[in-house]
Formats: sequence, C-alpha cells, structure tokens
Amino acid sequence: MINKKTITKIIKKITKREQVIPDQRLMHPKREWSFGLVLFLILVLTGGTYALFAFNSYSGISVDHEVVEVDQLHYKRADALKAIEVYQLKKNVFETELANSLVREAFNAELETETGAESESGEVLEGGVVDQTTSSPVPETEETVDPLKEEVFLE
Amino acid sequence: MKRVINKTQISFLIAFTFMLLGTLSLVGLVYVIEGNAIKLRERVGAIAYQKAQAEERYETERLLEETKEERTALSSFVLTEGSVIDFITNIETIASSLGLEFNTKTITPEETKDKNFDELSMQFSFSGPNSSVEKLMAVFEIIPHHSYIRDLNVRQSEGGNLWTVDMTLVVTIIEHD
Repeated sequence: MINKKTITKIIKKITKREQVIPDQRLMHPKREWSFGLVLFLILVLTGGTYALFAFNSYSGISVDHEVVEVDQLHYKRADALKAIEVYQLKKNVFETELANSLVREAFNAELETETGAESESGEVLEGGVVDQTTSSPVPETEETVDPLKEEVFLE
Repeated sequence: MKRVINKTQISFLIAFTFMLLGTLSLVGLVYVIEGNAIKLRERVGAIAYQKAQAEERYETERLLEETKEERTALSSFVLTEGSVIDFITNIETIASSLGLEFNTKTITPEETKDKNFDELSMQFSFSGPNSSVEKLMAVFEIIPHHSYIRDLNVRQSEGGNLWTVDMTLVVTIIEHD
C-alpha cells in the first residue's frame, strides 16, 4: 500500500530539476528540418486534397444535371373533350328546338294570314272567334321532332 | 551590440518565407476557385433555366397547335359580347313560338375573379300555359353556352293553367372576341 511518505518521494523526484547542463543552442537543425518537412507535407496534402475535391465537385457541373422548375402548362384534355361532347349535344338539341320554333313561328304567321283572309271572306265560327283548337300552332307532322323529349336530353 | 545572423538562421528565414508564401498562395487560390465556382454555378443555373423555358415554350406551342380545334370548339360554347343579343333573340323566338309572353327585364354585367371571363346576369320574365312554360324552362337547361340559373320563381294563376316565371340567368362571356 502506498503511504504518504512514498507519494511525497515520487512528487519530489518529478519536480526535482535534473542536475544536467542545459542546452545552450538556439537552433536544432534536425528538429527544425523535421518540423519544416512536416509543415510542408501538411501544406501539400491539404492543397492536394482540396484540389482533388474541387476537381471532383466542379468537373460534374453541367447544364443537363441541373434540376430547374419551370411553370408548366397543364391541359386537361379529357375534361375538355368531355365538355365539348356535353355542350355539342346541348347545341344540337337547342338548334333543333330553335329550328322547330322558327317553323312554328312561320306556321303561326301563315295561319294568322289565312285566318285574316277567312275573316274578311266571312268564314268565321260562331261568336266570331277563329277555332284554334283544331289548328295547332305546331305542325304535327312525322318529321317534326321534339328535341326536348329526346333521350339525349333526358339523360 | 551588432547581432550576427548565421547561415542556419538565414536558411530558416528563407524556408519560413517560402512556407508562408506557399500557405498564402494556397488560401488565395482556394478563394479564387470558390468564387469562380459560385459564378459558374449561377451561370449554369441560368442556362439550365433558359433551356427548360425554351423546352416548355416549345411544348406549349405544340400543345396550342394540337388543341386548336378543341379550343375553338370550347370557345364557341362561351358567349361573347357580340353574340349576347343573338342569344336573347333566339330565346325570345323560342318563347314566342311556344305562345309565351316573354320579357327581358335587365342585363347586368358582373365582374369575376377570372381575368379572361366576365358574367352577364339576365333577368327574364315569361308567362303562359304551363306546358309551354315547362318547355321553355327545359330549353334554358340545354342552353349550349356556359351558364347557370341563379334565381327561379314560378307563380301559378288561380285557374292553375297560367304560369308566370321570373328568373335570373347568368351567362359567362369572354372579355375579348
């Protein structure tokens, strides 16, 4: 077991100055050259490592490798085609109805003319009113199609 | 007292100077290389952006050319300022042929958030036999233009055969023909 005396002895041995002649030389060529060489090697290695890193990093720079985000135009073709289909269907039905209306208008105008002529010639019904119940304003021919009752519209 | 510098000290100073110059050169070169690298990256980024934009422009032009017919068809389903009168005339023609008394009360332009489109609010009033009114209302449902019915008010006469409708139809119009 180490006692206090032993510890004191060890400390004294460590702290005691060696009784040698101190080195009076300012320069130690071997030490300086070694130090210089190590510094030089550190400098060269650092520079070389950086050069290698820079070469690897910057030689890969290319326009093709750049990821760039540009505003893109999105065209929803399916939606557009669907809309065209729906509205084209509506257009067909509407135009047919419009055409039928024009026929009805023309028919009504013709009917009014005929009725006026008949009134002038005295061919009127009792009470002086033209019987319009027998003459529908709409010409009920087989060719007349009511587009509003078509299956397409009902969907 | 004159200080004498021996050969070893001279060698040391020369070596130290060279070492310092080498270190400074290395730091300077790193600084220049990094500066140039930043500029290079910026220019490459700008070129890549221009290239991507050119490609996107080409794609857009191709898409515009490809979809020309579709877009023309679609735009025909949206009224223009010039075609509104024709549209109302057509509706009035149909209403008249159905024996309805049709009246266009107001036409009011309304702004929308979309910079390409505006809306036109039209107030109509029509009355007549219920079957004819139903038919005209069905016509309003198949208007081949982008539109919607905002308000609809149907009143029935005491006899029940005569209906009166007040409605507001909103149609979309393209700002520029």
